[in-house]
Amino acid sequence: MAARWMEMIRDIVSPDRETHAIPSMDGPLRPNNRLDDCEVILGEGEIIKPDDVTFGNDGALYISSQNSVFRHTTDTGLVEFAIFDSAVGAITCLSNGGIAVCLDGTGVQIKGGPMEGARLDSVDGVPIVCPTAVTESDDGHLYICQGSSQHSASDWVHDLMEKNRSGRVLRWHPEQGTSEVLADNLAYPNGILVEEDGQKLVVCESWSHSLFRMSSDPKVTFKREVLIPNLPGYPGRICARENGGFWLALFGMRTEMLEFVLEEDDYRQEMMETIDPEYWVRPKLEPERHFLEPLQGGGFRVLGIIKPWAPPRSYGLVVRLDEDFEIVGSMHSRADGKVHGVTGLASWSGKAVAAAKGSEMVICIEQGGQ
Amino acid sequence: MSSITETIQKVRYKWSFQRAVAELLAKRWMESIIPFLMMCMVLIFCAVAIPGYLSFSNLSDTFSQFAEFGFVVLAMTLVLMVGGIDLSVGAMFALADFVALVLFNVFEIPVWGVIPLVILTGALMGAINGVLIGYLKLGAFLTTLVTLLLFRATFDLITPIYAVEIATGYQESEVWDFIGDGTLFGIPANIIILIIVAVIAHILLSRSRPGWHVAAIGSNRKAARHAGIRIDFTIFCTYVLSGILSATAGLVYATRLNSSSSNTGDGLEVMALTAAVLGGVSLAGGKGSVGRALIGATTILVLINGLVRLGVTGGPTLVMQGMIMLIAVGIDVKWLKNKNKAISKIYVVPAFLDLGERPDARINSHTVFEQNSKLNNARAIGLGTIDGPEDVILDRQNRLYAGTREGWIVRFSGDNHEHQEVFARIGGRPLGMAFDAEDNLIICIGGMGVYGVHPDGEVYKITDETNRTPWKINDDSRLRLADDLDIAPDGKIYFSEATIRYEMHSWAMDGLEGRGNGRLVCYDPAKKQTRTILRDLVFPNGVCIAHDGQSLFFAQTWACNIMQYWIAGPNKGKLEVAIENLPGNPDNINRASDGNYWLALTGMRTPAFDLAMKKPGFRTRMVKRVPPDEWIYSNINNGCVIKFSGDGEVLETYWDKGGESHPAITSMREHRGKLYLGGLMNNRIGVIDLPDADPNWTGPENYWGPK
Repeated sequence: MAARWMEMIRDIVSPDRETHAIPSMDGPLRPNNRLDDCEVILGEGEIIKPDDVTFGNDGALYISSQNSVFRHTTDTGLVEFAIFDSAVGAITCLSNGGIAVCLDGTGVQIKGGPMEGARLDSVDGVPIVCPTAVTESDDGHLYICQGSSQHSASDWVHDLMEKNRSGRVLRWHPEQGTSEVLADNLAYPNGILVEEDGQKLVVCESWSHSLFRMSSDPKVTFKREVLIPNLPGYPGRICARENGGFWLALFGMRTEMLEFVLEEDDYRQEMMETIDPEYWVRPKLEPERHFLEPLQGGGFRVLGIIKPWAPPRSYGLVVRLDEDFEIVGSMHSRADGKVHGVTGLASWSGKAVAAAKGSEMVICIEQGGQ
Repeated sequence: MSSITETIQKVRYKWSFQRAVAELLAKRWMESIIPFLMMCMVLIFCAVAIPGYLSFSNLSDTFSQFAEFGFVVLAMTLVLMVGGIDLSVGAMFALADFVALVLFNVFEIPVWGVIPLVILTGALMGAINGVLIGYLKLGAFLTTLVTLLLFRATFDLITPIYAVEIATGYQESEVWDFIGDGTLFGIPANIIILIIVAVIAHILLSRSRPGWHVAAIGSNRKAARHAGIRIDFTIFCTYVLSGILSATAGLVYATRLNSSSSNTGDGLEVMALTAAVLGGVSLAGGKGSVGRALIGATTILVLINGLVRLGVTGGPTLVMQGMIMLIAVGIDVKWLKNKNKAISKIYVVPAFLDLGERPDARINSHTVFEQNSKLNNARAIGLGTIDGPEDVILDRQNRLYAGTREGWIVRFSGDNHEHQEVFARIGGRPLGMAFDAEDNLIICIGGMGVYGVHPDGEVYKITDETNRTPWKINDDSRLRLADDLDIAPDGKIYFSEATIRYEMHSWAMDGLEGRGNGRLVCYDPAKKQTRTILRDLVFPNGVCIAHDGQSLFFAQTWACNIMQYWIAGPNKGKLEVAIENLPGNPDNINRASDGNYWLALTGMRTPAFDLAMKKPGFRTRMVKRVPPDEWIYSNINNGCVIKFSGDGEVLETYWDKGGESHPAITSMREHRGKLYLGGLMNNRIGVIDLPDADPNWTGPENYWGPK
């Protein structure tokens, strides 16, 4: 109550202050159906919940799906490459031929290549229960996002609803066996990128819907620079685009109702205690439409159709950024679309591929620089 | 949450002070409540501060001044309402006073000649304003400022000529003296004249076509013109009336004081303007009434009179008057403009509603409600050519009727109902339907009431109001949202009114409130009388007379239960819960051929919404802070129909899983072995085969026997 009064007073005193209200989807974010129109590489029934995609040095596409990593080429089709004990999240192909794999609840492991079997389970005594993103720099360091210290990656919605800030950015050199914490107390870091000079990292922080830049070396520290302060959704993985700029996946959208529930502590607490997470007021990857899910007014099916502008429980959105991290374009799959919950992105040789975990598809979002 | 806190919540949100305030504010007469309170405060202040203020002699003295001022304020109100202003009232008043005295004292014309002549003078002066403003379209402010100067200058020029003669001349007249200072039953005669004029003016302004034209022009000149109102003439007339009223004031003044001096009527226009605005007559036009004008006049007069008696005169009085004017204008602008915004902010008042444990209806739950796909293959009738068939019904000739959003009754005929026609155009939002014994189609029309359609398509009204609840602030005599009906064997029509606080387009808001806002009403065709029989029902929806004709079932949509009410037999008047704790929001109920009942579940309860229903504060804040398209509701994107027995046992469930073709089923009707489905927001009617049903059973025959 007191906080609400303070908010009101602040509204009156400085109406123009940064409130992190949901930005409107306009300009380069203007909704379209481009994701729905993309070429489908693996469709419904061909792959189960693909989480991340990455290109190998040979141009083959690696896809993480449940407990496995699959390898896909046009000649061989989909072949199981490796199988693990727990769900595989982010994957990245290493320059020495191996693949770094994020295992939910466990940590990071290397498969193939000279460092086969190397594992990182904890740093500074805190286990890596929620590895969300991994990338390699030219000097052989692996940079890892640990979304949360409380929940595994499959329970991300709990972390969101608890408004936790227990994520970390880690650095690991498998050959030297060294590991350090680069940043902590983050609100679910969920995507990471090493900039070309190798000195700086770009991290996507999901729950604060922002992107920031930080030093890649624990010895060299500079002030974190916020690149994008306020996105209309929750940013996930990011990858460099072959022809300049970056691709960024937003796996869930913010809605006014969701932001409201995040402020209503009493309601949210009871919701988390008494209701199955599937039926919470929450963002979701899967466009499931179960009858026990809460329905928002704009989502009523009227005259046989669900409006594309309905408040999205699930949504598909990939954003294109330029070299300065300005949003320059976007690809959408709206409330009535069929490519929802994009979590993984990879770009190689003028081609870009996205994994839509929600809709269980792998699609090609860019072909030959188009 | 412990049960004690829940009980406290229940009690706290059962009655709502906020709701009373919101409903009070929505009343039109509330617009003058602030002026009225201000008047009372001024009266009390004077009564306390000035000894002997309430004495009879003082009051009648003040009152006798009141008459002429009241006339001038009425004149000002009239032109303000048409969107203009008349600054020349004071000058016209002075000239009329002068003319009256000259005619009476100098030329010794009898009173019965003086009165029409003075009024004619006023009308002429008003006509000058009227022609300039109404026909030549000059600005009201500048024009009347100029005529103020003209009339005042004329007055100043000719007064000296007759000044002595006026003072010395005298004519004996009882009528003249009676108007001036006579009394009738202790009330000054001029006040009686004012009251008569005020009553006539009130009726004219609020109950007659010219009065509505005035308000229409003042509210929106352009719209009034488009509506075909003669703007020029109406404006002209208001200025003429303003002149006549000012002249009447001058006449009354003349009879009272028998004198005319150079400062007669000086500054009267500002005083009148202050009084009118203070009373709540809007400067922007269109809003005002005689009552408000007189409240304002009383306030100003009592205040100035009181200040004089307290020894404050001249400058300070004017300053005071100016300050009051400023406050009044501030209130006028801020309050009247934002009133509706304020009401809409507090109108929705959610209540505490604990729906209890939700029965599991998920696949593999092995309950009677378990989700299935029995309706998924329903054949569509009128796909894409019908908008929102809330209810469907079939007649003896197998023709299918449905009410649509356009306010039409659409009829389908042919073997597969492929031929579509508009059977009747009623307007409003047709909802529940039933056939009576004469095959008339009786329909609940949201926003209108209960109407009937003869078999030849002729529409007739049955009822649109019921008895008003004495203790409710909102006038609930009009039917706002008649929802579903059924007809008892004795011909009485029982129908539900879902809510008395919301309209057809905002019914969903009632769901957020979750309060007992609805009622069950009965129309007796023998007595032609409509009476409310049950009040405070939580969105009563479907109504169905039981097979034995002794009781009726009705659904309470937000409470998720079915009630049974006995209308005949030994249990008459008994009310009982038939089915509790449904997994969704029940809508229409209709008879099934096997002696049971069909029930449509519009929306399915969701855990998140059930929790919100237990948190009124959460919903209140949601309504205030989240845009309406994002509010959460029950999940109405699923189709579900259940069958229950007369004992309240649920027998069967039919689902349209995924709700792609039949979301939000609001009604279903069994006919000759088929089940027809209607949906409030759907673009089709569905039909499925019922293999086990009686292939010859029809509703009209079941109710009224074969024909």
